[in-house]
Formats: sequence, structure tokens, C-alpha cells
Amino acid sequence: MITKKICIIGDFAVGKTSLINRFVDNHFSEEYLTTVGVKLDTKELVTRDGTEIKLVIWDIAGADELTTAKRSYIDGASGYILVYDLSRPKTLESARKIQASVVEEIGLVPFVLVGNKNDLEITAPEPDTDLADKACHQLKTSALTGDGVADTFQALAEAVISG
Amino acid sequence: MKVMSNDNPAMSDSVHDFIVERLNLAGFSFDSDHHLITADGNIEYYFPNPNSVASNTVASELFPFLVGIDPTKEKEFSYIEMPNGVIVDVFIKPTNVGYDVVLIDMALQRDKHQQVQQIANVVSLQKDEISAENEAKSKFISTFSHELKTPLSSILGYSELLTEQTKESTMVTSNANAIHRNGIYLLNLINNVLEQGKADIQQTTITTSPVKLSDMLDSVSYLVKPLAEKKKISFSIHYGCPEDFVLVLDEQHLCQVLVNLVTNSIKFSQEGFIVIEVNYADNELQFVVSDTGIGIPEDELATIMQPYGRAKHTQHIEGAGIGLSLSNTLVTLMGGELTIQSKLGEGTAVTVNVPTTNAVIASELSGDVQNSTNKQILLAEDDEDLVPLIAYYLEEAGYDVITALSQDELRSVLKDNQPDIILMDHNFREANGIELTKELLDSGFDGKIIMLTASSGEAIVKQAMGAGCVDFITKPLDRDKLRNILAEHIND
Repeated sequence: MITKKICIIGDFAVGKTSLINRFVDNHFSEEYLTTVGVKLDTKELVTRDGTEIKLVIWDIAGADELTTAKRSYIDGASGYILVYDLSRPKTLESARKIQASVVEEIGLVPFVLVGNKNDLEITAPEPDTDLADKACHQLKTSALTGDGVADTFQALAEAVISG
Repeated sequence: MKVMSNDNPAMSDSVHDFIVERLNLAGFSFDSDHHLITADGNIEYYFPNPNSVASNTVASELFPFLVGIDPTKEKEFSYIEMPNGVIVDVFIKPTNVGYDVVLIDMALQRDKHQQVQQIANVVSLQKDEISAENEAKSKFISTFSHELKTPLSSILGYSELLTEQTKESTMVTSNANAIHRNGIYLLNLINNVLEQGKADIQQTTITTSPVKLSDMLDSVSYLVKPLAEKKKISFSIHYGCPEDFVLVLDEQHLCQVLVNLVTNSIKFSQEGFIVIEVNYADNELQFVVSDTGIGIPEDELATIMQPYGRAKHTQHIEGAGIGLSLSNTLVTLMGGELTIQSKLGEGTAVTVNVPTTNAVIASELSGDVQNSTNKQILLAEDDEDLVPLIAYYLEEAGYDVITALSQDELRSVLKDNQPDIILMDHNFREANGIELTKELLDSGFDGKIIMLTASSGEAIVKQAMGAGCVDFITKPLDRDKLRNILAEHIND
């Protein structure tokens, strides 16, 4: 089995930990508990071509930018999920800044752009083509309902494998 | 002083054990093939099952954080929460046979850090929510203002014209006066409600510009005189300084304050007089609005300064109860002070002091006598009721007026005409007047553009000026102000 490190990054309270909890444990909590540092999880899945892959998921504490301290967390990542909150437009702007910092740190690796909380009123605009075109996939998700969550991780796993 | 002795290794071991226990310190040595060689320290804390830490165990099985990491380079990570829930700081150090991984338990520190961060994030989210709500309110106020003030422009303008043009018919004049007076009352009320809405969300901004004192007080007089006349109360302005002093003031808000104070005086007077006394000294402008009304009991002065506060003995008199408190808020924002002196049954005097700049006499300011002859104004306004009224105001002042009711008409008119000034409606049909202004100036229009807006937001004024407008005029239009602004820019 192939083991790959992926990261999930974005502004605070966009639902990164909730997406992982939904994907790994099929669980959702209404309570907001901020992540400090990194929370590690693992999950195995099988790609469309039958490759078994174990994802080591780094849930990195959210912020509107990737600070120097957090840059070391993404070292060695094969891909990442870049999350913004569909109900908070400014988190899309944070996502754009964070993506640029990631490229500076580890170069170009595949990423999935995720607009989370599609169960709420959507106030964020569609991502500009500049950011959307860089992403290997772009999805809208809801950690609350589970909508799009598995597809997000599957899409990133496929992209990581196909390299 | 610290005493070290190589002869007493037991001491060294006890310190070592103490540190290991306190920090749950654990070290793991791996060879270059990532297999475990040795482990030391409080291993049980991290791996309660000793079988999972057998020799030759692959590093990434013990520590998933090593996946993707190059351990030949020194590295450290703070606050890593492992899948089994332990929270550690991790130090990776290369050795001559491979590398070491050192773990320090950080659960307590992380929890404390998390509590602080949690509060900071929740506060930040709440601030964002409030900001979004305020933005929505601000947008509502702006739209509401436009929707209310545009028809009021027609009501006030036409009723005024009707009064002027039908002097031979007492009945018609009286009716037109009633429309005009009630329109003014409604306008003041709308201005107060909208301004209170902005004050509630801390979005009142003070915008100062040079203002001729008599022009400002004429505007106040225009708005309050019909209301005073209706109640047969004498209204006058006494200048204790030159009328043509030019001072830097927030004209819009100061007008609103004075209109509120005089309107209150009218409301709470049955007869007698109302006077505005104006004085200027030491860069401070003072207005005293005094009346011979019913007065306010001393113990209720604080109540009436509160939003929606009314004195007990005035409950039967119509009013929203926001004029005085709003005026106090506005004066405070201007850096001034509002004080009240009142005696029940004798009257009230409200004093407003506002800081300002050195006064200049208007006639000393440079400026040519403006001539409107042969000057062309293009009126880009989509309100079909308002267009003939504004056109009348302009033609009466001697301007040549052309009109455009739509964007297409505007572009078409500009092909054959080169107006000196365009009066551009902010909410022009199917277009944003600000964007249209930019477009016209970018495409080479070399006249001036003045924004007409019924919105109350200062942001719109800033956007208009940023887009290249030379000035702005707010609806409902004050005929004299419109002409003064045009005169200022027409030959400039």
C-alpha cells in the first residue's frame, strides 16, 4: 500500500476538522473547537484503478495566511485540500493567499479547492479563474450533510497517485 | 550554584528520570532504512502496548508524521496531535546511523493555547457577523434613502413651484403649502430615521468642507419656516458674527441638528417665538436655539437625551423621540457639545458648540462672477417626474438644458453635444452612475460631471469623487444649492 501525506488548509472555522471527521469517522459535531498546531489522522482508500492508498492527513490550524511556523507542516505533502467557507467571502481571499504561500514552500503539487458549508446561504463569490484553474478539482461540500466530502478526498487521492 | 559530580551518577539519573517523567520525554533512534534501533524515556506514555515498539519497527508505522519527511534534515514540529490523541512537540535529528525522533508531551500547554485561540477565533467570527449585518443594514439604509427621497424631490419641488405660480388662487396656494410643509416634515423624519440607523451601526462619518454660514442657515430656514408659519410662531436668525463667514464644517449634519432643534421648538410651542442665535469666537461656532415653548422639567432632561426618550408631559404630542438624542450624537461626533437649559412653562434654550477653523469672509475668497449664459447642462436622470422640475430650475437660472432618460439616450446626446456639465443620477436607469462617469471620462468627455444622489451614504459620495465627479448634490434638491454648485463649477 502506498502511504501519502496530504494537508488540509484554509482560514479558521471554515470546517477543515469537520470535513476530516466526516471523512474518517463519518461524524459531525455542531460545536466549534479550534485546532491548534496539527491534528493527524489516517484513512485508507482505493483509487479507480485499484491502487490502495493510505492518506496521512495533516489538519493544520486555520489562519488567514500560512505563517512561517505553519509552513513546516506542509513539508513533504503530496497534495492538499484548500478550504474556504461559502458563507464567509473573505475566507476565499485567505485561500488565495495561502495557496500562493504553499507554492512558495513546496512548489506545485495537486490540490482540491473546496467551498465548504454549502448547507448555508452562499455569500462567497465563485473563485476567480486564476485560483480555480490551478486546482485539480473544485468542489462544494457540506461536512454537516456529508455532501461532496468523500469525493474531495477521493479526487485528491487520484490526483496524488497520477502524480 | 550548581554542583556537578561525575562521581555520583545516581544524582544524574534521578534528574534524568525527573525530566523524563515530568515532560513524558521519549527518544527513538532509527537507522537509515527507517527501522527502530532503540527507544528510551517514557515510552509507555505514548505506546501503552510495548509490542508496538519492537526493534525493527518501521518509523512511519510508529509516527505517521514522518511520511513525506526527509529525516536527514533537522526538523521540529509544535503541537502535533497524533491519531491516538497524544499531543507532542517533535524533534527530528539526523545521526551518524540514521536519525532520532524525540517527543515531548505538550497536552497541557496545547490545551491552554487552544483556550486562548478559541476565544480569539470566536470573537473574530462574531465581529465578522456584526460587520456583515452592518453592511446589510448600511445597504438597506442607502436603498431606502433613495426610494424615499426621489419621490419627495418631486413632491417638494412641484408643491413649491405651485405655490409660486398660483399666487392668485388662495385655495391652491394654501393646498400647495400644505403639501410642501408635510413633505418637509416627512423629509426631516426620514433624515433622522436614516441617520439614527447609521449611528446605531457606528457608520456616521463627519465630512467637512468650507461652508458659507448664511447659506447653511438659509437651508435650515427653508426647511423649518413653513412649519413655524403654520403654527403662527415667529422664527428668526440673529447673527452675532458676519453672515458671510466661511467656515469648515460638516454642513449636512449641522443642518440636520439645527433643523431638529427648531422642529422640536415648533412642536413644543403653541405661540411666541423661536430664535437661532449664531456666534463665532476662537475657532468655535455657537448656535443657541431658544423658544418660548412648554419647557422640560429638570428631572427629565436626561431622559429626553436618550434615543426615543420623551418627557412625560409631551407624550400626547406627535414625534418619534429621536431628534434630540441624534443631534447630541452628531454634535459629539463633530467634536462639539450640546447642552440644554429649560424651565417648565417658560421655554427651552439648546446650545450647540462646534469646533471649526478660522473664519474667512466670503467676499474675500477669490472667485469670478459666474455667468450661466450659453452654458449647457446635460441632465442624466431617469425619474420622469423629476426631470422637468430640475430642467425648470436650470432653465430659470439661464442654462441651456438637454436631458437623457437612459444610458442609450445619454450616449446618443453626447454624440451631437458637448455639455459643460453633466448632472448624473447615481442610480441611473439600468446603470450605475459611478461606472458611467468613469466610462465617459475614460472615453474622452472633457466636461464636468456632478453626481445627483438620493442615497445617504458617504461611501457613495467618496466613490463618486473617486470616479472623477467634481461635486455631488443630494436629493431632495435645494434649488439655490443646485444653482450655487453649478455656478461654482461652470466657469472654474
